[in-house]
Amino acid sequence: MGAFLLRRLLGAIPLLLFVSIAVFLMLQAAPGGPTGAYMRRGNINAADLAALEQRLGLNDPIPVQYGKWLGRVLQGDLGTAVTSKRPVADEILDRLPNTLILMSVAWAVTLVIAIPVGILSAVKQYSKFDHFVTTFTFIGQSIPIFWFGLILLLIFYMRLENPFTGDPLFPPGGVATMGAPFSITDRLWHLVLPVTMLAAGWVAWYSRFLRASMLETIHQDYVRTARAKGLGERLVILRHGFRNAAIPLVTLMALDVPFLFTGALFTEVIFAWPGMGRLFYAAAERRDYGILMAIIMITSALIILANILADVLYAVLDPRIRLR
Amino acid sequence: MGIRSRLSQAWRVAAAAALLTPLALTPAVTLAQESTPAAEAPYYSDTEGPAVPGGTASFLLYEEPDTLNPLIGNTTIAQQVVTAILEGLTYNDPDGNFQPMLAAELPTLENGGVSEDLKTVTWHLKPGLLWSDGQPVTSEDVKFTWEAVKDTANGSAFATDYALITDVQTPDPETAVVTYSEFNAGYLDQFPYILPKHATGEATDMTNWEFNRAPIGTGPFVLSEWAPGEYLATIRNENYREEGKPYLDGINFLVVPAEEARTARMIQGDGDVMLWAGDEAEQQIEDAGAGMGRIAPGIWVVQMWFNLSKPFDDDPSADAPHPILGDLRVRQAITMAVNRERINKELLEGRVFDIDSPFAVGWLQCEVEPFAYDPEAAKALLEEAGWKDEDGDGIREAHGVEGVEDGTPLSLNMNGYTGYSTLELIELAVQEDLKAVGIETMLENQEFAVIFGTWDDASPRLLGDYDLLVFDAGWFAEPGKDILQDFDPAGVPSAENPGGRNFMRWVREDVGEWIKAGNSTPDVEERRANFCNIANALREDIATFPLLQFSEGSVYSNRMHGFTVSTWEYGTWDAENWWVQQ
Repeated sequence: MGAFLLRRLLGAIPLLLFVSIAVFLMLQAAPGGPTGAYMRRGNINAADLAALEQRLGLNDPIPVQYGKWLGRVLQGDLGTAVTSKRPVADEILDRLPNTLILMSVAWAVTLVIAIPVGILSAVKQYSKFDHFVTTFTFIGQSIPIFWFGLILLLIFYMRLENPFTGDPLFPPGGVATMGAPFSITDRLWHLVLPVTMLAAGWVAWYSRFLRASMLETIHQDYVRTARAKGLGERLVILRHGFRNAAIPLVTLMALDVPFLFTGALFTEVIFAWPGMGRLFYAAAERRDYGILMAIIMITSALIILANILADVLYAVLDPRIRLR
Repeated sequence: MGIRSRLSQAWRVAAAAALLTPLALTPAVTLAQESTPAAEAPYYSDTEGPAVPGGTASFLLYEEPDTLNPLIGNTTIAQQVVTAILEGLTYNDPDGNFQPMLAAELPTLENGGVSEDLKTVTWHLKPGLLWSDGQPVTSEDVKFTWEAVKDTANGSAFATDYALITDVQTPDPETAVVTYSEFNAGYLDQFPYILPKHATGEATDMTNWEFNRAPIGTGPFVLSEWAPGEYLATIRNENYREEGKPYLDGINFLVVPAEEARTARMIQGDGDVMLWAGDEAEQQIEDAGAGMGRIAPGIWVVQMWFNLSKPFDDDPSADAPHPILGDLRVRQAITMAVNRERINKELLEGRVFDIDSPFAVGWLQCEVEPFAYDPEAAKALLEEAGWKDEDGDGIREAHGVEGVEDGTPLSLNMNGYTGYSTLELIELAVQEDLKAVGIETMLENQEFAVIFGTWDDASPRLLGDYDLLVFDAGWFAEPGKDILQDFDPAGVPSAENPGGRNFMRWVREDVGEWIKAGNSTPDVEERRANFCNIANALREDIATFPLLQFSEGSVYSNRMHGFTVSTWEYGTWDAENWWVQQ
């Protein structure tokens, strides 16, 4: 196992280097540049713009620019955001806590709902419950998430009122009430709509996945054997069925870990949630190479790590698999 | 000049780009209703009182401000916030005239503020000015601002605007004497922002100042909290120079990216200003009785620019005339063929303003003979010029046109930039109108970066390889430099003069003289007379054909009062006068 981990981690280094070169080239090939935002503003004249580009090193040959970037990153410096002129690390750290809160809560809610629903709909296949769940998961999977978020806003912010205060039932966005002292309930209240928007699609996806996986395992011979030995149905389903069905689910979850970092653009946009998704999107619009490279590279590293993690978990959960 | 400038263009380009993503459900065209240009004041002004002090207004932004230091270059969104916090020596009133802000009065020749040789400008500060932290504002701050902004190495985005200044002297705390190497016609626009020396840092370290995210200013509001990506809260500046103002306790700038979410907040009473709302959002808010769109003319004028020289001949000079457009009668016919009223009223639902000259704006207000829609006269002119449709295909051909082979169709390329649907609509309407009089146009829109690219980018307008260009451009309140740039007879772009911007290749020596005369006096009337001469020459020669002027404005909640929408300043320019019904 140790050798396996070491080999995989070392193997990640050339992979990351390759990704960084490819992404760097792609960003450079995209039309426009970081100073485009000012060019369009029309009030910064050409000479000042040229001087600005010179100062930012945007006129250096691409290999030189890449070399400088790599050199900085290896020293732990992610560089400076072009538009805000702040360190990229600060920009990311401003947004990261919000993203982690939103994504992890949504993820936890998803699992709490999706696991029992997935198990039940497999165990009671073709029951009314299963049909009901199937219908809803298909809806959950196929509605445009952006539209769903707007509908939530329409109903729970614009239509429904809090019967005690007369205010809208839920706030239209943000992480907390502006100017109010810190309060857990207030924060949770702000999380309800964005988490609902995110979890709706995820629950559908996870529960379908688990249902399929469960269906496969509970018809296996060893499950029948367990029943034949006289084990209670609950134990049969949970210990023999679910435990095996959960292996691919855990893999899926491990692979989803990087998304806890990247955030959810649509949800952040609709509910004015200051997260990583919006940071990335704004940086892409402004061609803010520093921020883009940082986020893409961190995400890439997380994806590689998540893959290794998935492999390891697989081996832990399934003794038949040996990592070499 | 520069720093002041307004801009909805970035917004419109961004909005158009956003159309390509699933994010934007509504095309953000232009704004507001009630756009029929009134005879006197075309801008909306809510001056009824009496003002009620207290309360907080919510100003909805669609993206987060980048930095609050305007000198290092920031976005127009950031400027909405900056304008409530920082001030300069002067500002522009809604008519485009310069007015003193921190300055006691505008320096002129008459009051001795401008020296006889025009090279020295003396500014006196209003007495007793304080920064929001209670420190006095002095001429040292003016000098410091110049030291910080004059050098690109400091991170300044406006260094060239200060290239003519050789020195700033501070004989006493209320007097700053600015010395120029030569007269700067834009001297009134020189200091749109003054920064506090005591609350910033080393000039050379400007990009790293803490000030950039926590500015100290003289404006009516002070930043109290910046929650990244979420909001910027401001509270009233207790040291503001006007007694009893600002009326509001604070303005909260909320970052709400989704237009639908901003609209919902306006309808629910959680927003007071929705910056640059799209048509659909505005309609919904008005239908809900929650607010109204309020506008002023924007600085952006859509024009058709004619290439007066021969295109695609590897000669960027103005020497050889354009075979078709070189004839004034053809250009005149084009202006008569285009139904601008239809574009304004039907296509853009009356949300834009009519305009006949780019010089009809601001303090210039040059009046020229209006362009008239008369397709019959257009056809007659084209016949007279030798363009007749004898083969009956609906497109005229040359029959005895000098320099053009008989039978050559009357066909022109029309270029604009991509990604802005309103511009494309306008082009299509123009194309249809021209077709009706027998002129064929080929639409060929290019990337923004190509049309506005440099000589090295092979921008077609610089190479002179185009027939008709349609795009929007605007001048700021002090247009002297722009007029020079656009119409300088020595400014025809070429390999030797890649910075030239007279891409119409409209070369008239008398225009050059008027530009020079207009830019070498501080006398406003004299400047206006000279620039209006150019306006009339431009109208006579029809080197450009103004189609319309975009509007500028936002949607305001019904409880918001005391504000005036200005062509020349950002939304919060008069925030000290804002008040809300409690």
